[in-house]
Amino acid sequence: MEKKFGPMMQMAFVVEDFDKPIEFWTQKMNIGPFFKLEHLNVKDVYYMDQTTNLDFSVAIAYTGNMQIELVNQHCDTPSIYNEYVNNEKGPLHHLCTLTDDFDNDVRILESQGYINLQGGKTQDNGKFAYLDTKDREGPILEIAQLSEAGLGFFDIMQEASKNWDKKTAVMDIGEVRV
Amino acid sequence: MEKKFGPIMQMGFIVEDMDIAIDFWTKKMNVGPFIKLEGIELIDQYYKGKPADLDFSGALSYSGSMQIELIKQHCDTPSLYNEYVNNEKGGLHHLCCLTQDIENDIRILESQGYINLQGGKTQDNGQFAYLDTPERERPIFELTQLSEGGLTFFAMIEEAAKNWDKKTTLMEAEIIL
Repeated sequence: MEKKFGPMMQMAFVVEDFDKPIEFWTQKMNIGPFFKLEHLNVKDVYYMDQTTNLDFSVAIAYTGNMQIELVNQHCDTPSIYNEYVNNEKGPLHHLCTLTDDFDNDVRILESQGYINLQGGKTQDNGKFAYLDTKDREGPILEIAQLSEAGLGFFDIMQEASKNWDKKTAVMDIGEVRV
Repeated sequence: MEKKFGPIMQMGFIVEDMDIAIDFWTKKMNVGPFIKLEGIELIDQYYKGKPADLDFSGALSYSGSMQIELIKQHCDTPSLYNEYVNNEKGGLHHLCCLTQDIENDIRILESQGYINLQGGKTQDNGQFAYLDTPERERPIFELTQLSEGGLTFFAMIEEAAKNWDKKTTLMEAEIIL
């Protein structure tokens, strides 16, 4: 029995609004363009074992093979994005890795002392979960199993970063020529 | 005038205990093997505009094409690794990009409000600098210009991670050399 997940492919930061951070990442860190996914329509969302309903948006860009995700929660519902972190762990919120066998990996991680804190599903049955160890040794770990369409979506955004003009801060997915 | 640095290639974490941290990354995060860099002999080190003599060790590994760096400072000399981040351990400390023209990039970043907080040189004239904005908007940013030898060393560690048996937590530099 071994974990199937691959290399870390995303680092995520919780932000209060998108405009300033996107300006920061594009103008100072040379990372862009960002794609905004507003009011994500995910289902079966849970936090600390209870069903919940979170209103949040994300903005995504790539630096090389690493995805940068900015998360902005719009509601005050307790979640891993607000009350869980309290900025204790520095600016990074979580690292994400993709897997082909979500249930297998979550089971092994739980056997290693991880707690499945929050998660949900996408409309096309992609699955994701945020896990952390009790003693919070390292970054929160997100495990995701995406649909083919979800993976294709990430590819398009990564491709856009390779051909970026270093000026356009935000793009729509439809604008990307592939 | 434009910045020459490439994609983010390193995430740096400050740790209290190197062995515990390596255990965590290898067993739980599936990232390994780590190469320990002990007794790093740097020259011209500075912190906040003054020369600084810092005693610290590092350990490096790769997750895909991203380098994971663990840093353990052994002395209490004020630095970017302790007082600047309030001795916070475990969280992300900095992100690093490589550049072929560190002076050009530092100049542009300074014109964008960054402060050159700490840095130094390796024995083979590699150069590095940590910068941050006064508002501390995001992670500390490290810029590094490596020698050919330094680049080769990183490539070897990355290769070792690709061929990792998921058991060996530590490798000696000689093994991959």
